[in-house]
Amino acid sequence: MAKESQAASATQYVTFRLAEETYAINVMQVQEVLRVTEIAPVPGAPHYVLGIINLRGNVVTVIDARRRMGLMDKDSDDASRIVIIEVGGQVVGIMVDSVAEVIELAARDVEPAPNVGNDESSKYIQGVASRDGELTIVVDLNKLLTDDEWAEVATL
Amino acid sequence: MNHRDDRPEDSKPRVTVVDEPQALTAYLDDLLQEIAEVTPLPSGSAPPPAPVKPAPVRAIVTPIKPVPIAAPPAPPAPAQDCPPAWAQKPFQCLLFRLGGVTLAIPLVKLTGIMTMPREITPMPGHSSLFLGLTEHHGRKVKVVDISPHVLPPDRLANRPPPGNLILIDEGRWGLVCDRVEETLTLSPELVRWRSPSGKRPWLSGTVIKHLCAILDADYLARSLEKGTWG
Repeated sequence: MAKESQAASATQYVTFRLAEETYAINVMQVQEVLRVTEIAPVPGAPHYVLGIINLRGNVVTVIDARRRMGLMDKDSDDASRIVIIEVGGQVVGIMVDSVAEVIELAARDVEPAPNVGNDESSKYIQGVASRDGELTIVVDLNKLLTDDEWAEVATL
Repeated sequence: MNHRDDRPEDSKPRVTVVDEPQALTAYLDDLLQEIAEVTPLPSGSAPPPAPVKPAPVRAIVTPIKPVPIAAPPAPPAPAQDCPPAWAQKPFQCLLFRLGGVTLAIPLVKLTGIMTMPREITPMPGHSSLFLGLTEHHGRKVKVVDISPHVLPPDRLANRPPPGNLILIDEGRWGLVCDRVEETLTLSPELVRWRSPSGKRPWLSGTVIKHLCAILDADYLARSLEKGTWG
């Protein structure tokens, strides 16, 4: 998905929607985007884990992005997508309301995330960028889960 | 607000506080009394005790010698802080309403006012007082609703929809309010300044005459930035 010819300072991001807001993740960590398929629940898994899917013979854990970010649950629909990402050598899927587009953001366009009584679990918000009069929340996928949580997900 | 009445019988003819101004006066008074009359009680959720008059008693108990009466040992209870630097002379405040209570922000600490934006981008995982971000003149304003920490609990239920944002700290923060009212020039003597040991550091002082509480914008911005507020 990555394109080679880019301005050195800009980074490409895939944007997706969650609860009417736009989020962006680094395109280099996105492997593919899937329509929602059958997800097999895993007993005893953390609440933010929807289950596992079979991706061409590989088992991939699917994380519910809404639950992870403390947003209201929503049933999946036609627009829902599973974004397959790679973090630290681990491949997981994140379920989002919809996938929007690929955008370019320069580092200077991303303002650091505000710190207002936020807890450890919100450290995945890398910053905020303004585009077309709308704010896009840039997510650091490496911090989507804590180290312990990544380890737990790996063993599901 | 809970208000235990420990006063002597003869001094409590006005127990029924139904009137709006009276209720507000009681609230504002309570804000400061809790702070000003700093008696070393175990914790502090209890309202202040009845007005005590300890100073004269002590003075009499020490009938030591012909020593001059000059030294009433320690400075008595109403140890209020002196006005901050911006209030050494008459200063202007903007009055605004929050949950029916009138609050004030000194104009020297006010960056601007904006109407409540339609678009506020919430940030997941943050304190509930942080409503999200909005844009104002190309700058991202962090919108906060301080009412759960500032208003008496019974005021929270029937709040009108927010109408304005009070911008402080160079516009980094926007405080939600019901509406903006007017500006007022105050002389420092009219204000009961908060004592430094107070439990409500967001409060600069109260003005009983105008039934309003003056916010400490610097403290608000600092503590919000650190994430230690609320």
